[in-house]
Amino acid sequence: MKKQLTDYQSCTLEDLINDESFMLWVTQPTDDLDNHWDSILQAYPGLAPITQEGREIILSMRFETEVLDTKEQKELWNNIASKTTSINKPVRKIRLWSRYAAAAILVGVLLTAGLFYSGFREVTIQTPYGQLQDVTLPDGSLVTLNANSNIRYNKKWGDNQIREVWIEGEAFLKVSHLHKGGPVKNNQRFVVHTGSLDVEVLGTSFNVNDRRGRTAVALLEGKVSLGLNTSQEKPIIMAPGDIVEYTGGKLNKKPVNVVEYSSWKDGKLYFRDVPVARIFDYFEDIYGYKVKVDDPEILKRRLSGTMSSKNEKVFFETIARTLNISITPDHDSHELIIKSN
Amino acid sequence: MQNLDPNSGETEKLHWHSFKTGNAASFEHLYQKYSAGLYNYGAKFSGDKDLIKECIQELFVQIWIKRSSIGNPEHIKNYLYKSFRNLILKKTAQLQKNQDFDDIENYDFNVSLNIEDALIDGERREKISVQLQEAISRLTARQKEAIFLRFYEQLSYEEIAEVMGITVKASYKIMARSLSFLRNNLSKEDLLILYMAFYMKLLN
Repeated sequence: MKKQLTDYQSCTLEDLINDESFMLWVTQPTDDLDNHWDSILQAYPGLAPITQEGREIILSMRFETEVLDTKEQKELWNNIASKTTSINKPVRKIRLWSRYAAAAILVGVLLTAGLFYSGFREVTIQTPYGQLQDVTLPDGSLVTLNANSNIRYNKKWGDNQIREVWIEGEAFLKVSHLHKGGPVKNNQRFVVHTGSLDVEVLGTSFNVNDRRGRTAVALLEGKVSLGLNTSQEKPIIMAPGDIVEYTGGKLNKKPVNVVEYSSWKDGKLYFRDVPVARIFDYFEDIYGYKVKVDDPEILKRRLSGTMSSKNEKVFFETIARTLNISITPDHDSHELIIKSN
Repeated sequence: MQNLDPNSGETEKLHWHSFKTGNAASFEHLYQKYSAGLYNYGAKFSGDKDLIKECIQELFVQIWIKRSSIGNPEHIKNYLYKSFRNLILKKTAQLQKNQDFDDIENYDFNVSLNIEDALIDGERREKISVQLQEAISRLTARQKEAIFLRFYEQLSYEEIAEVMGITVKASYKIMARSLSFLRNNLSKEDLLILYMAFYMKLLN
Protein backbone atom coordinates (compact mmCIF):
# COMPACT_ATOMS: atom_id res chain seq x y z
CA MET A 1 0.00 0.00 0.00
CA LYS A 2 1.70 3.16 -1.14
CA LYS A 3 0.05 6.24 0.20
CA GLN A 4 -0.58 9.21 -2.03
CA LEU A 5 0.16 12.51 -0.40
CA THR A 6 -2.79 14.88 -0.43
CA ASP A 7 -2.29 17.37 2.37
CA TYR A 8 0.57 19.45 1.00
CA GLN A 9 -0.10 22.34 3.36
CA SER A 10 1.12 20.58 6.48
CA CYS A 11 3.26 17.80 5.13
CA THR A 12 6.60 17.05 6.71
CA LEU A 13 9.91 15.92 5.31
CA GLU A 14 9.12 12.35 6.31
CA ASP A 15 5.75 12.50 4.50
CA LEU A 16 7.49 13.69 1.35
CA ILE A 17 10.09 10.95 1.51
CA ASN A 18 7.37 8.41 1.97
CA ASP A 19 5.44 9.66 -1.02
CA GLU A 20 5.88 7.42 -4.02
CA SER A 21 5.32 10.13 -6.58
CA PHE A 22 7.93 12.32 -4.87
CA MET A 23 10.44 9.49 -4.82
CA LEU A 24 9.83 8.81 -8.51
CA TRP A 25 10.08 12.49 -9.37
CA VAL A 26 13.50 12.63 -7.71
CA THR A 27 14.88 9.35 -8.99
CA GLN A 28 13.20 8.95 -12.38
CA PRO A 29 11.70 12.29 -13.42
CA THR A 30 9.31 12.49 -16.37
CA ASP A 31 7.57 15.49 -17.92
CA ASP A 32 4.33 14.57 -16.18
CA LEU A 33 6.01 14.36 -12.80
CA ASP A 34 7.86 17.63 -13.41
CA ASN A 35 4.59 19.38 -14.25
CA HIS A 36 2.82 17.82 -11.31
CA TRP A 37 5.42 18.87 -8.78
CA ASP A 38 6.02 22.30 -10.32
CA SER A 39 2.37 23.10 -9.95
CA ILE A 40 2.34 21.86 -6.35
CA LEU A 41 5.35 24.02 -5.53
CA GLN A 42 3.65 27.03 -7.11
CA ALA A 43 0.56 26.46 -5.03
CA TYR A 44 2.52 25.78 -1.84
CA PRO A 45 5.72 27.83 -1.97
CA GLY A 46 6.33 26.96 1.67
CA LEU A 47 7.15 23.42 0.58
CA ALA A 48 10.30 24.43 -1.30
CA PRO A 49 12.84 24.00 1.52
CA ILE A 50 11.71 20.52 2.51
CA THR A 51 11.38 19.34 -1.08
CA GLN A 52 14.98 20.41 -1.59
CA GLU A 53 16.05 18.64 1.57
CA GLY A 54 14.07 15.52 0.74
CA ARG A 55 15.59 15.47 -2.72
CA GLU A 56 19.10 15.73 -1.32
CA ILE A 57 18.51 12.96 1.16
CA ILE A 58 17.04 10.62 -1.43
CA LEU A 59 19.85 11.32 -3.86
CA SER A 60 22.57 10.85 -1.29
CA MET A 61 21.32 7.37 -0.52
CA ARG A 62 23.15 5.46 -3.19
CA PHE A 63 24.15 2.10 -1.88
CA GLU A 64 26.95 -0.12 -3.02
CA THR A 65 25.39 -3.11 -4.68
CA GLU A 66 26.65 -6.63 -4.36
CA VAL A 67 26.37 -8.15 -7.78
CA LEU A 68 25.47 -11.72 -8.47
CA ASP A 69 27.15 -12.17 -11.83
CA THR A 70 25.41 -13.96 -14.67
CA LYS A 71 27.50 -17.08 -14.26
CA GLU A 72 26.82 -17.35 -10.53
CA GLN A 73 23.15 -16.63 -11.11
CA LYS A 74 22.99 -19.41 -13.68
CA GLU A 75 24.83 -21.89 -11.48
CA LEU A 76 22.57 -21.13 -8.58
CA TRP A 77 19.53 -21.60 -10.79
CA ASN A 78 20.87 -24.95 -11.99
CA ASN A 79 21.19 -26.04 -8.36
CA ILE A 80 17.65 -24.93 -7.62
CA ALA A 81 16.27 -26.51 -10.78
CA SER A 82 17.99 -29.81 -10.04
CA LYS A 83 16.20 -29.89 -6.70
CA THR A 84 12.85 -28.70 -8.07
CA THR A 85 11.65 -28.47 -11.65
CA SER A 86 14.18 -30.74 -13.33
CA ILE A 87 14.26 -33.29 -10.55
CA ASN A 88 13.30 -36.17 -12.86
CA LYS A 89 15.39 -35.20 -15.82
CA PRO A 90 18.53 -37.26 -16.38
CA VAL A 91 21.74 -35.58 -15.31
CA ARG A 92 23.79 -34.62 -18.31
CA LYS A 93 27.12 -36.34 -18.59
CA ILE A 94 30.23 -34.22 -18.41
CA ARG A 95 31.63 -33.92 -21.91
CA LEU A 96 35.14 -35.06 -22.50
CA TRP A 97 36.52 -31.67 -23.50
CA SER A 98 35.64 -30.13 -20.17
CA ARG A 99 37.80 -32.74 -18.47
CA TYR A 100 40.65 -31.75 -20.70
CA ALA A 101 39.99 -28.13 -19.86
CA ALA A 102 40.17 -28.96 -16.18
CA ALA A 103 43.45 -30.76 -16.71
CA ALA A 104 44.82 -27.83 -18.66
CA ILE A 105 43.82 -25.43 -15.92
CA LEU A 106 45.50 -27.63 -13.37
CA VAL A 107 48.72 -27.69 -15.36
CA GLY A 108 48.46 -23.92 -15.68
CA VAL A 109 48.09 -23.61 -11.96
CA LEU A 110 51.08 -25.86 -11.38
CA LEU A 111 53.22 -23.77 -13.67
CA THR A 112 52.20 -20.30 -12.61
CA ALA A 113 51.89 -20.84 -8.91
CA GLY A 114 55.18 -22.60 -8.54
CA LEU A 115 53.69 -25.50 -6.68
CA PHE A 116 56.31 -27.89 -5.40
CA TYR A 117 56.71 -30.63 -2.87
CA SER A 118 59.41 -30.89 -0.30
CA GLY A 119 59.98 -34.44 0.86
CA PHE A 120 56.73 -35.35 -0.95
CA ARG A 121 54.79 -34.32 2.13
CA GLU A 122 54.59 -30.60 2.25
CA VAL A 123 52.90 -28.31 -0.25
CA THR A 124 54.04 -24.74 -0.77
CA ILE A 125 52.16 -22.36 -3.02
CA GLN A 126 53.63 -19.00 -3.88
CA THR A 127 51.67 -16.43 -5.87
CA PRO A 128 53.49 -14.04 -8.21
CA TYR A 129 53.02 -10.27 -8.10
CA GLY A 130 49.62 -9.09 -9.30
CA GLN A 131 47.87 -12.47 -9.16
CA LEU A 132 45.47 -14.07 -6.70
CA GLN A 133 44.97 -17.78 -6.32
CA ASP A 134 42.33 -20.00 -4.74
CA VAL A 135 43.63 -23.02 -2.85
CA THR A 136 41.61 -25.94 -1.46
CA LEU A 137 43.17 -27.50 1.62
CA PRO A 138 43.10 -31.28 2.31
CA ASP A 139 39.99 -30.90 4.52
CA GLY A 140 38.10 -28.87 1.91
CA SER A 141 38.75 -25.52 3.58
CA LEU A 142 39.16 -22.70 1.08
CA VAL A 143 41.97 -20.20 0.92
CA THR A 144 42.29 -17.21 -1.36
CA LEU A 145 45.91 -16.20 -1.51
CA ASN A 146 46.65 -12.58 -2.35
CA ALA A 147 49.46 -11.64 -4.72
CA ASN A 148 53.05 -12.03 -3.49
CA SER A 149 52.08 -14.40 -0.70
CA ASN A 150 52.69 -17.99 0.17
CA ILE A 151 51.02 -20.80 2.05
CA ARG A 152 52.59 -24.04 3.30
CA TYR A 153 50.82 -27.12 4.63
CA ASN A 154 51.08 -30.89 4.84
CA LYS A 155 49.77 -32.69 1.80
CA LYS A 156 47.77 -35.11 3.95
CA TRP A 157 46.10 -34.39 7.23
CA GLY A 158 45.83 -37.40 9.51
CA ASP A 159 42.74 -38.33 11.49
CA ASN A 160 44.20 -37.26 14.77
CA GLN A 161 46.29 -34.39 13.57
CA ILE A 162 45.82 -30.67 14.08
CA ARG A 163 45.17 -28.92 10.79
CA GLU A 164 48.04 -26.48 10.38
CA VAL A 165 49.01 -23.95 7.71
CA TRP A 166 51.81 -21.40 7.53
CA ILE A 167 51.12 -18.12 5.77
CA GLU A 168 53.30 -15.24 4.63
CA GLY A 169 51.73 -12.22 2.95
CA GLU A 170 47.94 -12.08 2.89
CA ALA A 171 45.20 -14.69 2.71
CA PHE A 172 41.47 -15.04 3.20
CA LEU A 173 40.44 -18.34 4.79
CA LYS A 174 37.14 -20.12 4.98
CA VAL A 175 37.61 -23.07 7.28
CA SER A 176 35.47 -26.22 7.24
CA HIS A 177 33.81 -26.68 10.57
CA LEU A 178 34.47 -30.12 11.97
CA HIS A 179 33.67 -29.49 15.62
CA LYS A 180 30.12 -30.67 16.32
CA GLY A 181 30.00 -30.20 20.07
CA GLY A 182 31.70 -32.03 22.91
CA PRO A 183 35.38 -31.75 23.71
CA VAL A 184 37.48 -30.48 20.81
CA LYS A 185 39.52 -33.24 19.20
CA ASN A 186 42.87 -32.62 17.57
CA ASN A 187 41.65 -32.95 14.00
CA GLN A 188 38.90 -30.42 14.67
CA ARG A 189 41.51 -27.81 15.47
CA PHE A 190 42.79 -25.54 12.77
CA VAL A 191 45.82 -23.34 13.36
CA VAL A 192 47.29 -20.65 11.12
CA HIS A 193 50.90 -19.71 11.82
CA THR A 194 52.25 -16.36 10.73
CA GLY A 195 55.58 -14.71 11.45
CA SER A 196 54.64 -13.84 14.99
CA LEU A 197 51.10 -15.09 15.63
CA ASP A 198 49.24 -18.34 15.95
CA VAL A 199 45.57 -18.13 15.01
CA GLU A 200 43.41 -20.97 16.25
CA VAL A 201 40.09 -21.49 14.58
CA LEU A 202 36.81 -23.32 14.94
CA GLY A 203 35.07 -23.10 11.56
CA THR A 204 35.07 -19.58 10.38
CA SER A 205 36.05 -17.09 7.72
CA PHE A 206 38.76 -14.56 8.32
CA ASN A 207 41.56 -12.57 6.73
CA VAL A 208 45.23 -12.74 7.69
CA ASN A 209 47.70 -10.09 6.64
CA ASP A 210 51.32 -10.56 7.62
CA ARG A 211 53.52 -7.99 5.94
CA ARG A 212 56.13 -5.42 6.89
CA GLY A 213 56.44 -6.67 10.44
CA ARG A 214 52.76 -6.03 11.09
CA THR A 215 50.21 -8.82 11.36
CA ALA A 216 46.48 -8.13 11.11
CA VAL A 217 43.73 -10.69 11.53
CA ALA A 218 40.16 -9.69 10.61
CA LEU A 219 37.31 -12.01 11.53
CA LEU A 220 34.13 -12.18 9.42
CA GLU A 221 32.29 -15.13 10.94
CA GLY A 222 32.76 -17.63 13.72
CA LYS A 223 35.33 -17.50 16.46
CA VAL A 224 39.10 -17.53 16.57
CA SER A 225 41.61 -17.31 19.35
CA LEU A 226 44.84 -15.58 18.71
CA GLY A 227 48.11 -15.79 20.59
CA LEU A 228 51.75 -14.84 20.19
CA ASN A 229 53.80 -17.86 19.27
CA THR A 230 56.67 -16.64 21.39
CA SER A 231 54.94 -16.27 24.72
CA GLN A 232 52.59 -18.13 26.99
CA GLU A 233 50.35 -15.12 27.51
CA LYS A 234 46.62 -15.69 27.44
CA PRO A 235 45.34 -15.64 23.85
CA ILE A 236 42.84 -13.03 22.65
CA ILE A 237 39.41 -14.36 21.63
CA MET A 238 37.99 -12.56 18.62
CA ALA A 239 34.31 -12.03 17.78
CA PRO A 240 32.94 -11.40 14.26
CA GLY A 241 33.70 -7.85 13.25
CA ASP A 242 36.92 -7.64 15.23
CA ILE A 243 40.32 -6.98 13.84
CA VAL A 244 43.45 -7.65 15.84
CA GLU A 245 46.71 -6.03 14.87
CA TYR A 246 50.09 -7.09 16.06
CA THR A 247 52.70 -4.43 15.66
CA GLY A 248 55.72 -3.39 17.69
CA GLY A 249 55.33 -6.29 20.12
CA LYS A 250 51.73 -5.45 21.05
CA LEU A 251 48.34 -6.95 20.25
CA ASN A 252 45.49 -4.48 19.73
CA LYS A 253 41.88 -5.41 19.21
CA LYS A 254 39.38 -3.07 17.54
CA PRO A 255 36.01 -3.48 15.82
CA VAL A 256 35.89 -2.47 12.15
CA ASN A 257 33.95 -3.20 9.02
CA VAL A 258 35.89 -6.39 8.37
CA VAL A 259 34.42 -6.94 4.92
CA GLU A 260 36.73 -4.12 3.88
CA TYR A 261 39.70 -6.19 4.95
CA SER A 262 38.85 -9.14 2.74
CA SER A 263 37.36 -7.33 -0.26
CA TRP A 264 40.62 -7.78 -2.21
CA LYS A 265 39.64 -11.37 -2.90
CA ASP A 266 36.72 -10.11 -4.98
CA GLY A 267 38.91 -7.65 -6.85
CA LYS A 268 37.71 -4.62 -4.93
CA LEU A 269 39.44 -2.43 -2.40
CA TYR A 270 37.85 -0.27 0.23
CA PHE A 271 39.80 2.55 1.73
CA ARG A 272 38.49 4.48 4.64
CA ASP A 273 40.66 7.43 5.54
CA VAL A 274 43.80 5.49 4.65
CA PRO A 275 47.15 7.32 4.49
CA VAL A 276 48.44 7.43 0.94
CA ALA A 277 51.78 6.00 2.13
CA ARG A 278 49.95 2.82 3.08
CA ILE A 279 48.44 2.52 -0.38
CA PHE A 280 51.90 2.87 -1.91
CA ASP A 281 53.12 0.09 0.40
CA TYR A 282 50.29 -1.94 -1.05
CA PHE A 283 51.49 -1.22 -4.62
CA GLU A 284 54.90 -2.51 -3.58
CA ASP A 285 53.57 -5.62 -1.86
CA ILE A 286 51.04 -6.64 -4.46
CA TYR A 287 52.51 -5.50 -7.76
CA GLY A 288 56.20 -5.67 -6.93
CA TYR A 289 57.12 -2.08 -7.80
CA LYS A 290 59.49 0.19 -5.93
CA VAL A 291 57.59 3.43 -5.40
CA LYS A 292 59.44 6.71 -6.07
CA VAL A 293 57.70 9.87 -4.93
CA ASP A 294 58.90 13.33 -5.95
CA ASP A 295 56.91 15.20 -3.32
CA PRO A 296 56.74 13.62 0.17
CA GLU A 297 53.67 15.76 0.90
CA ILE A 298 51.64 13.30 -1.19
CA LEU A 299 52.34 10.58 1.35
CA LYS A 300 50.62 12.52 4.11
CA ARG A 301 47.32 12.76 2.31
CA ARG A 302 44.50 10.35 3.06
CA LEU A 303 42.07 8.56 0.80
CA SER A 304 38.62 7.03 1.10
CA GLY A 305 36.56 5.18 -1.46
CA THR A 306 35.91 1.95 -3.24
CA MET A 307 37.87 0.93 -6.25
CA SER A 308 38.32 -2.01 -8.51
CA SER A 309 41.76 -3.58 -8.22
CA LYS A 310 41.16 -6.21 -10.89
CA ASN A 311 43.14 -4.31 -13.48
CA GLU A 312 46.44 -2.83 -12.37
CA LYS A 313 46.34 -0.03 -14.94
CA VAL A 314 42.78 1.02 -14.12
CA PHE A 315 43.51 0.82 -10.40
CA PHE A 316 46.56 3.12 -10.71
CA GLU A 317 44.60 5.46 -12.95
CA THR A 318 41.75 5.70 -10.45
CA ILE A 319 44.10 6.55 -7.60
CA ALA A 320 46.03 9.01 -9.77
CA ARG A 321 42.88 10.85 -10.80
CA THR A 322 41.49 10.94 -7.29
CA LEU A 323 44.68 12.39 -5.83
CA ASN A 324 45.48 14.51 -8.87
CA ILE A 325 48.90 12.92 -9.31
CA SER A 326 50.51 10.88 -12.05
CA ILE A 327 51.53 7.27 -11.58
CA THR A 328 53.86 5.87 -14.23
CA PRO A 329 55.22 2.34 -14.07
CA ASP A 330 58.72 1.79 -15.41
CA HIS A 331 58.74 -1.86 -16.39
CA ASP A 332 62.51 -2.09 -16.82
CA SER A 333 63.52 -0.81 -13.40
CA HIS A 334 60.30 -2.00 -11.70
CA GLU A 335 59.81 1.47 -10.35
CA LEU A 336 56.57 3.34 -9.98
CA ILE A 337 57.20 7.03 -10.60
CA ILE A 338 54.75 9.24 -8.73
CA LYS A 339 54.53 12.96 -9.40
CA SER A 340 52.10 15.61 -8.23
CA ASN A 341 50.32 17.35 -11.13
CA MET B 1 15.45 -0.98 -10.20
CA GLN B 2 11.72 -0.66 -9.89
CA ASN B 3 9.38 -1.81 -12.55
CA LEU B 4 7.29 1.17 -13.55
CA ASP B 5 4.94 -0.64 -15.87
CA PRO B 6 1.56 -0.39 -14.13
CA ASN B 7 0.57 -3.80 -15.49
CA SER B 8 3.67 -5.52 -14.18
CA GLY B 9 2.06 -6.22 -10.83
CA GLU B 10 -0.62 -8.15 -12.69
CA THR B 11 1.92 -10.03 -14.80
CA GLU B 12 3.71 -10.99 -11.60
CA LYS B 13 0.49 -12.27 -10.11
CA LEU B 14 -0.16 -14.38 -13.21
CA HIS B 15 3.31 -15.86 -12.96
CA TRP B 16 2.74 -16.52 -9.27
CA HIS B 17 -0.49 -18.36 -9.99
CA SER B 18 0.99 -20.50 -12.69
CA PHE B 19 4.07 -21.20 -10.54
CA LYS B 20 1.68 -22.50 -7.88
CA THR B 21 0.20 -24.94 -10.37
CA GLY B 22 3.70 -26.23 -11.05
CA ASN B 23 4.72 -24.22 -14.11
CA ALA B 24 8.51 -24.40 -14.34
CA ALA B 25 8.87 -21.40 -16.64
CA SER B 26 6.99 -19.13 -14.24
CA PHE B 27 9.08 -20.41 -11.37
CA GLU B 28 12.23 -19.57 -13.29
CA HIS B 29 10.79 -16.17 -14.12
CA LEU B 30 10.41 -15.43 -10.41
CA TYR B 31 14.00 -16.51 -9.82
CA GLN B 32 15.32 -14.35 -12.68
CA LYS B 33 13.37 -11.38 -11.46
CA TYR B 34 14.26 -11.48 -7.79
CA SER B 35 17.56 -13.34 -7.32
CA ALA B 36 19.88 -10.36 -7.96
CA GLY B 37 17.95 -8.10 -5.57
CA LEU B 38 17.80 -10.78 -2.92
CA TYR B 39 21.53 -11.35 -3.23
CA ASN B 40 22.28 -7.67 -2.80
CA TYR B 41 19.96 -7.47 0.21
CA GLY B 42 21.44 -10.63 1.73
CA ALA B 43 25.00 -9.40 1.30
CA LYS B 44 24.22 -6.62 3.79
CA PHE B 45 23.63 -9.19 6.52
CA SER B 46 26.73 -11.26 6.00
CA GLY B 47 30.02 -11.10 4.13
CA ASP B 48 29.75 -14.80 3.45
CA LYS B 49 28.64 -14.99 -0.17
CA ASP B 50 28.15 -18.74 -0.14
CA LEU B 51 25.80 -18.42 2.78
CA ILE B 52 23.71 -15.87 0.88
CA LYS B 53 23.56 -18.11 -2.17
CA GLU B 54 22.63 -21.04 0.02
CA CYS B 55 19.73 -19.04 1.47
CA ILE B 56 18.51 -18.01 -1.99
CA GLN B 57 18.62 -21.65 -3.02
CA GLU B 58 16.77 -22.74 0.08
CA LEU B 59 14.15 -20.03 -0.38
CA PHE B 60 13.32 -21.11 -3.90
CA VAL B 61 13.46 -24.83 -3.15
CA GLN B 62 11.15 -24.27 -0.17
CA ILE B 63 8.55 -22.25 -2.04
CA TRP B 64 8.59 -24.84 -4.80
CA ILE B 65 7.94 -27.64 -2.33
CA LYS B 66 5.21 -25.67 -0.57
CA ARG B 67 3.80 -24.20 -3.79
CA SER B 68 0.34 -25.72 -3.60
CA SER B 69 -0.25 -24.67 -0.01
CA ILE B 70 1.29 -21.19 -0.32
CA GLY B 71 -1.17 -18.27 -0.31
CA ASN B 72 -1.39 -15.34 -2.64
CA PRO B 73 0.69 -12.62 -1.02
CA GLU B 74 -0.35 -9.10 -1.87
CA HIS B 75 3.22 -8.17 -2.72
CA ILE B 76 5.26 -11.07 -4.04
CA LYS B 77 8.50 -9.18 -3.58
CA ASN B 78 7.80 -8.41 0.07
CA TYR B 79 6.85 -11.99 0.70
CA LEU B 80 10.10 -13.26 -0.83
CA TYR B 81 12.24 -10.65 0.97
CA LYS B 82 10.62 -11.42 4.26
CA SER B 83 11.03 -15.20 3.95
CA PHE B 84 14.60 -14.72 2.73
CA ARG B 85 15.41 -12.42 5.65
CA ASN B 86 14.09 -15.03 8.11
CA LEU B 87 16.23 -17.71 6.48
CA ILE B 88 19.38 -15.61 6.72
CA LEU B 89 18.79 -14.65 10.33
CA LYS B 90 18.08 -18.27 11.19
CA LYS B 91 21.18 -19.53 9.37
CA THR B 92 23.54 -16.96 10.84
CA ALA B 93 22.13 -17.60 14.30
CA GLN B 94 22.63 -21.33 13.81
CA LEU B 95 26.19 -20.82 12.69
CA GLN B 96 26.87 -18.61 15.66
CA LYS B 97 25.14 -20.92 18.10
CA ASN B 98 28.02 -23.27 17.56
CA GLN B 99 30.15 -20.60 19.02
CA ASP B 100 27.91 -19.41 21.83
CA PHE B 101 25.97 -16.61 20.19
CA ASP B 102 22.24 -17.08 20.18
CA ASP B 103 20.66 -13.67 20.14
CA ILE B 104 18.62 -13.48 16.93
CA GLU B 105 17.73 -9.81 17.46
CA ASN B 106 21.38 -8.99 17.37
CA TYR B 107 22.21 -9.05 13.70
CA ASP B 108 24.59 -7.23 11.38
CA PHE B 109 23.52 -5.02 8.54
CA ASN B 110 26.37 -3.35 6.69
CA VAL B 111 25.81 -0.85 3.91
CA SER B 112 28.33 1.25 2.07
CA LEU B 113 27.30 4.34 0.21
CA ASN B 114 28.63 4.69 -3.27
CA ILE B 115 30.22 8.11 -3.66
CA GLU B 116 31.11 8.57 -7.27
CA ASP B 117 33.80 10.86 -8.52
CA ALA B 118 32.62 14.25 -9.68
CA LEU B 119 33.65 17.86 -10.03
CA ILE B 120 34.81 18.05 -6.46
CA ASP B 121 38.44 17.25 -5.87
CA GLY B 122 39.73 14.14 -4.15
CA GLU B 123 40.27 15.47 -0.67
CA ARG B 124 36.98 17.31 -0.43
CA ARG B 125 35.07 14.30 -1.68
CA GLU B 126 37.04 12.10 0.60
CA LYS B 127 36.05 14.19 3.60
CA ILE B 128 32.37 14.05 2.71
CA SER B 129 32.52 10.37 1.98
CA VAL B 130 34.11 9.70 5.35
CA GLN B 131 31.53 11.84 7.14
CA LEU B 132 28.59 10.22 5.46
CA GLN B 133 29.96 6.74 5.92
CA GLU B 134 30.62 7.51 9.56
CA ALA B 135 27.15 8.89 10.11
CA ILE B 136 25.67 5.77 8.50
CA SER B 137 27.90 3.41 10.41
CA ARG B 138 26.68 4.83 13.68
CA LEU B 139 23.10 3.84 12.92
CA THR B 140 21.84 0.56 14.33
CA ALA B 141 21.41 -2.48 12.08
CA ARG B 142 17.64 -1.93 12.11
CA GLN B 143 17.99 1.71 11.13
CA LYS B 144 20.41 0.85 8.34
CA GLU B 145 18.14 -1.89 7.09
CA ALA B 146 15.09 0.40 7.09
CA ILE B 147 17.03 3.06 5.19
CA PHE B 148 18.22 0.50 2.67
CA LEU B 149 14.70 -0.84 2.12
CA ARG B 150 13.30 2.66 1.81
CA PHE B 151 15.86 4.27 -0.44
CA TYR B 152 17.24 1.36 -2.40
CA GLU B 153 14.32 -1.01 -2.64
CA GLN B 154 11.89 1.92 -2.46
CA LEU B 155 9.48 0.16 -0.17
CA SER B 156 6.80 2.09 1.69
CA TYR B 157 6.70 2.16 5.48
CA GLU B 158 3.97 -0.47 5.45
CA GLU B 159 6.12 -2.73 3.30
CA ILE B 160 9.21 -2.16 5.44
CA ALA B 161 7.18 -3.17 8.47
CA GLU B 162 6.04 -6.31 6.69
CA VAL B 163 9.51 -7.37 5.58
CA MET B 164 11.19 -6.61 8.89
CA GLY B 165 8.39 -8.07 10.96
CA ILE B 166 7.70 -4.89 12.95
CA THR B 167 4.69 -2.62 13.29
CA VAL B 168 4.12 0.19 10.80
CA LYS B 169 4.44 2.68 13.64
CA ALA B 170 7.81 1.24 14.57
CA SER B 171 9.01 1.54 10.98
CA TYR B 172 8.03 5.24 10.93
CA LYS B 173 9.85 5.72 14.19
CA ILE B 174 13.01 3.97 13.04
CA MET B 175 13.10 6.03 9.87
CA ALA B 176 12.38 9.34 11.58
CA ARG B 177 15.17 8.69 14.05
CA SER B 178 17.67 7.70 11.38
CA LEU B 179 16.84 10.67 9.17
CA SER B 180 17.15 13.20 11.94
CA PHE B 181 20.41 11.57 12.92
CA LEU B 182 21.77 11.94 9.39
CA ARG B 183 20.53 15.50 9.10
CA ASN B 184 22.19 16.47 12.33
CA ASN B 185 25.43 14.81 11.43
CA LEU B 186 25.91 16.23 7.98
CA SER B 187 26.12 19.87 7.08
CA LYS B 188 23.73 21.25 4.47
CA GLU B 189 26.64 22.12 2.24
CA ASP B 190 27.89 18.55 2.28
CA LEU B 191 24.50 17.21 1.31
CA LEU B 192 24.33 19.69 -1.54
CA ILE B 193 27.70 18.66 -2.89
CA LEU B 194 26.72 15.02 -2.65
CA TYR B 195 23.59 15.78 -4.59
CA MET B 196 25.65 17.34 -7.37
CA ALA B 197 28.09 14.51 -7.28
CA PHE B 198 25.46 11.93 -8.03
CA TYR B 199 24.72 13.43 -11.39
CA MET B 200 28.20 12.79 -12.63
CA LYS B 201 29.58 9.35 -12.87
CA LEU B 202 33.13 9.52 -14.05
CA LEU B 203 34.23 6.23 -12.59
CA ASN B 204 32.70 2.87 -13.34
